[in-house]
Amino acid sequence: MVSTSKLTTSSLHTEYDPANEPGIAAAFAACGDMVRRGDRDRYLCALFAPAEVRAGLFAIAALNLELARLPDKVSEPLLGQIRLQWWRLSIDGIYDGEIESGDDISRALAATISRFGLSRDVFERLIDARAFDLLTDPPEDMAATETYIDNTAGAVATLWLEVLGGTGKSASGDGACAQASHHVARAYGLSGLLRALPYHAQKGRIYLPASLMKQYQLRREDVLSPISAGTSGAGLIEIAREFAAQAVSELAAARALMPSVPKAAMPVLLPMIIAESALKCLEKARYDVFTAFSRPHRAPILKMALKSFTGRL
Amino acid sequence: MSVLTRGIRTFLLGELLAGMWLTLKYFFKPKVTINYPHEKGFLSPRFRGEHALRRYPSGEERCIACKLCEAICPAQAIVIEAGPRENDGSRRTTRYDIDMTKCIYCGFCQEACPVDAIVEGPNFEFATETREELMYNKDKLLDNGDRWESEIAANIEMDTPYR
Repeated sequence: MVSTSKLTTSSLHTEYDPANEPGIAAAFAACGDMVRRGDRDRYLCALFAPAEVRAGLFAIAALNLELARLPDKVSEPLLGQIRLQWWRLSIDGIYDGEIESGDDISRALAATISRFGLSRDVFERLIDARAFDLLTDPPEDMAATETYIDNTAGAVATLWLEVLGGTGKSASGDGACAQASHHVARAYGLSGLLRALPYHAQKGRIYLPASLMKQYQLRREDVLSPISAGTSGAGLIEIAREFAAQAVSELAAARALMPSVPKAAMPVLLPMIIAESALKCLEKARYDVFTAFSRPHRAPILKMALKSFTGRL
Repeated sequence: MSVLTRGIRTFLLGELLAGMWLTLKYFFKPKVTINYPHEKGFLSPRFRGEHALRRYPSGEERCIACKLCEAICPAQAIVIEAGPRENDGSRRTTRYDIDMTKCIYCGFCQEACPVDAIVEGPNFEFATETREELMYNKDKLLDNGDRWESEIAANIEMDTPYR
């Protein structure tokens, strides 16, 4: 087994190492490293989890990252479907105990699943929802967008909660915690779609509901090319307002549940801080998405640390 | 133009001087050519050149013998045989051949690969003297992967931003 020290991974990513499977530490380290470079928000949130479960969180986030990157890696939807199907079979294989060796993410996931007993259907939802990314049509209405968010950001939050619940501090189990994380994931997903809008537009993908676009007479071209969006962005601004309002109400719903949520669930609640700062940034730019998020939005690390230590979100 | 001016221009070699003036102008402009084998032109991170099989940082080969690349290949240039490996029984390829004379460099193999094992790297200088040398086997592909890993990894990183 060759050392992976050159990967800039410290002991941070390799907290648990079931002795029965050699090389699993390297697989977890690779997942952690992947998340650190590709999905900074979730990486930061996972850092606030207890050390013994952190690697499990990274494994789940790595799968999500890999699936989210699919559309950028393939030139045709069919090729993406093939890869999604491979992941479906690979998850099936893990649950049916047929995993042979596989890649780093599968192995890390297999160890995580067997340790925490994660729900199979949530993984299936996550993979199915990512098929939507391969298409360029916008979702039909707000409900479709919300379903998409529930099955992507929401599914990751659900799985994380299941991992955190395994620490013996009863993070999940009670309904309030699951509900709060659901609201947080919604808010994070809504703000995330706005944050990623310039990037998605570049790639020709739209996540704004078709019904809203029709209502505000926003054409596809207005979203896809930022130049025309700068001039005729009224409809886009209105939709961004509506997304933000929805996110704010989800955040308020999550806040209301906070008193009955244990501190162990912190990593699934911290996206709240990121969503809030993104919304603030958007508000400052007068809901002009292309101005607010022309460059990647940075997560407010200090604020997250402070809130996490005081336990008050 | 009168006969006189035309005569004078011909007599004073006007066209010749105009041509030389143009040459002189280009003499002081920056060069548009490059000194090819020593200097290389720009290559997109998506450039699809010679194939390579990558490894994980631990040294383990990425390919898990799922045969998706073989299935997707429109030119049917890839041949894979798979079986359990001797030391740990994990499923690996026992044979991974690419016929580079059949390959049309469409990049589908790389797009279909779920673990980013087979990639088309940035190398385009793999001319050979015989046809047989273009029948790549697994050793050659893994060797390519080892040789080009840093460039391939950098290109993948550049090509797949995520927010």
